[in-house]
Amino acid sequence: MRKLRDLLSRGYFPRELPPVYDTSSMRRVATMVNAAPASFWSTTRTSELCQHNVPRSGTLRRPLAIPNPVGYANLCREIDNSWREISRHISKSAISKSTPQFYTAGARAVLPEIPNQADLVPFRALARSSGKTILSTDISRLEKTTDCTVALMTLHARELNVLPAPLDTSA
Amino acid sequence: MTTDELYASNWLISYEAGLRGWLPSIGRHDHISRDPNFDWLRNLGVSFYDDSMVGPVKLTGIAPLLALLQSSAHCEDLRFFELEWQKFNAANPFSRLTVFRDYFKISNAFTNRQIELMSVNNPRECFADYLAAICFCQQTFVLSEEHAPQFGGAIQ
Repeated sequence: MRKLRDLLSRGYFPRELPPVYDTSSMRRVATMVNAAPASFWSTTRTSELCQHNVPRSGTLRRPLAIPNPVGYANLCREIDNSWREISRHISKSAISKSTPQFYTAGARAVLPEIPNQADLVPFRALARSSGKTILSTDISRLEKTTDCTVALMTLHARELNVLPAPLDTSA
Repeated sequence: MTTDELYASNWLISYEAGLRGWLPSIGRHDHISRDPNFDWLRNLGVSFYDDSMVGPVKLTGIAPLLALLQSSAHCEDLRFFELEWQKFNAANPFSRLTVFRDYFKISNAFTNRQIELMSVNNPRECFADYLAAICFCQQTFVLSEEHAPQFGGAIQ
């Protein structure tokens, strides 16, 4: 339940919001889980994201979104309950430098394994020194265009026969 | 405001405005109490807006700044300011520098926010002004000519 409390109270809103927007009171949801109305943890109601634009230089903007608290609380509870399985899955990656890590203090409950972009430079240099091709992509809009369904498909794709079996490269 | 709006894209303002009595519900009933989930959140005291941190930006350093700019004794500072101003105006309609917090001596500036120095005679002002309430910079408009305030902007 500690992960649920931290996910709800530290890091629910994008860090780009002004400090007047605060989610610390959402920790009460975690401490009163069993007192919630029946519809709260079993809701099937869909909700829309609250849009938030971060200005960038020129006329650019970076769109962010804030999920509805009811849906977000349900998602966090699912993550809390399934964290062992999720953690086991994400630890399989040998190349990821952004595997999520829980922190018991600080403004964000979860941060990438290497939080600062600047600290990725040596890893990029190492990878590019031995690679022939660079694959570059931008997934900054991922969270707006996907949902937890995709995460579940990623976890269980093989069971669902959505993804092919990995290629045997040992030959 | 309606109960359905608690699950729409404006859920945040719908909840907070209902919680704080900023806006009325449509009909005779409170739109939050008609939804058991948000009613429970309200009973728990959940709020997403800390109004204790809201306050007008106070500028107390304009006179010292002008004196600084007019003073030959601070030519290095003056040159820095002019160069920065020209550079930013050439590249962007507005600029963000923490150093302006010190220049303007904004006493109640958020420590983790930067101060935006904006050229108000630029048409892109409306864009930045639109974002003023929810962007990561406290906005400070430095007037360089006669100007009509835009909605949501704090003209200092």
